[in-house]
Amino acid sequence: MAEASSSITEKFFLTLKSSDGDEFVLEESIAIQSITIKNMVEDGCSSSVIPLSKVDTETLIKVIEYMKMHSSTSSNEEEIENFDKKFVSNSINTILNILEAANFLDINNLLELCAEAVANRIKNKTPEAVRKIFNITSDFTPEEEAEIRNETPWAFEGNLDHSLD
Amino acid sequence: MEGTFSEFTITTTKKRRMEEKREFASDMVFEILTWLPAKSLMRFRCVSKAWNSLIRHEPDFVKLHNARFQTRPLASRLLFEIGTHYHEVVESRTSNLPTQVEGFSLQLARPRHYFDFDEVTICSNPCNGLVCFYNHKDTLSYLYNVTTGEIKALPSSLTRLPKGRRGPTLFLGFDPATERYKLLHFVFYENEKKPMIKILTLGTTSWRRIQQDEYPLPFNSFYSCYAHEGIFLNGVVYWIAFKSQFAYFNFTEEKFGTPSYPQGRSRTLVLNKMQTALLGKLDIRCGFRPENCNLVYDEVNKVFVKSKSNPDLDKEKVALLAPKNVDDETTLCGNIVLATGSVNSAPTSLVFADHHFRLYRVSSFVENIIPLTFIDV
Repeated sequence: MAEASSSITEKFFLTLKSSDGDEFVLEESIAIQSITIKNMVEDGCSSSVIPLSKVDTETLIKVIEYMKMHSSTSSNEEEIENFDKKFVSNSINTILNILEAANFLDINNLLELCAEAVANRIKNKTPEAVRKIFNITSDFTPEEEAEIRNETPWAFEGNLDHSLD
Repeated sequence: MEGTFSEFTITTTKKRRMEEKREFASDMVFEILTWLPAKSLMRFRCVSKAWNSLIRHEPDFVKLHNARFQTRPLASRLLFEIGTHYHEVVESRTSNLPTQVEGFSLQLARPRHYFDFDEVTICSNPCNGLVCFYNHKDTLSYLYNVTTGEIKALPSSLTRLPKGRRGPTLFLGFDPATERYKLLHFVFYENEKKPMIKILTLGTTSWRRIQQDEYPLPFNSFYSCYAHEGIFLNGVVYWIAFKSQFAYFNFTEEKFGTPSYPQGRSRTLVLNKMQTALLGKLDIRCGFRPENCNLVYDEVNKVFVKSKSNPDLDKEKVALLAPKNVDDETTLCGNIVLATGSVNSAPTSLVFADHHFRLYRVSSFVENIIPLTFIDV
């Protein structure tokens, strides 16, 4: 099946189903950028609908957009670069959702793109803002936290960003 | 699937997600944090215990972080060793190239809240942003990470030194084959002409002897050879010893050697520190004849070749270091201080506006968060 998909004349299509129940039909050659999907195709489980229980519709639309842009032979490097730039200008929350999906679907380029984008967005933030973004409750005692802050006081200097996006 | 139903599902899922706590899988946090600069990571250690232990205690994380930053131009920095209380202009310019004078900002790097800087001297060459200090008061040697400010005492076996010495003579190197740091130590004994040479792989407990016969230069050359003059590049440390004799030590093969260079009449060998740091290749001047200027070491063929002209380096960019760049505190001590600067704005030579400073050495390194506990001793 994987071999046949590489032929020019014949196109195979897959149906992906989001956690919200929406179905999307996608060319197999595009969808197999996801290693998770590729493995399913190779194992012959792609004849019916592929359920993606961990990816909601909103996120799946974005992931498909990305896969289409990155597989299309007509898009040139500049186009892809501009697309990526715009893609990561989404809210941090959206990018984190896409990152989770990319992790689950095993799309390495997308995973790296999102991870680097999140890093760029949080690099000047305060630890408090980062905790809120990642929904983390600190498990340090105030004394333990003060001790860590004391080890590298220079890391807390400068104009730090308190915003959550 | 019916339209209205799916819309309903989307809204309820969204609502549910906003209420529930997003628990990120640790592998995704891992992925995100590998892209963060050292300053952010040191700050985010206090986010939670899990983040702290990932940043400080996870070898795979540190390794990937380091690999990512090797390829990022913004992570490259210059490390300057600046001597204070020096009354001569030493860093002379070498050419009549068009000159562009600019300010150059430096950031002071020093182990914080640890010890009095007056008691400390640098006792090794820098290697990947790590350097060794010797503390005259407690007679211990320390390993110091310039990026994180972390400091760690080296085994006390290093410190049995004859009185009056300025600290151990250490060469610090990274062996790319085993990915381990190694210390080469020359031990001088009174009444003995030859020093003992030994090597320690950081993380192991015993020193290994290296045969003195292996050393390619006459031993008297040691008396003018201080380890902190060594330059570490790609697994090899190079240094110029007495009477312009040149030697190297390869940390993978654990062997000494002498690079051959065209000998000018004057036999004067000068290391172009700034160019070496900027090129990532050994750049020397051999004699003062113009045809011997700017020779670059070809590591593969082990010969010096005339450097191809680099348009960026052809235009000499001189930076003025005014005393205000190096803060008041440091001018109080007569030692060498460490400062870092950005490679992007790097000058090709440095001029000190005030004669109280002298540039001892400059090296380049990539910001790294290597916890010194990994190189446990």
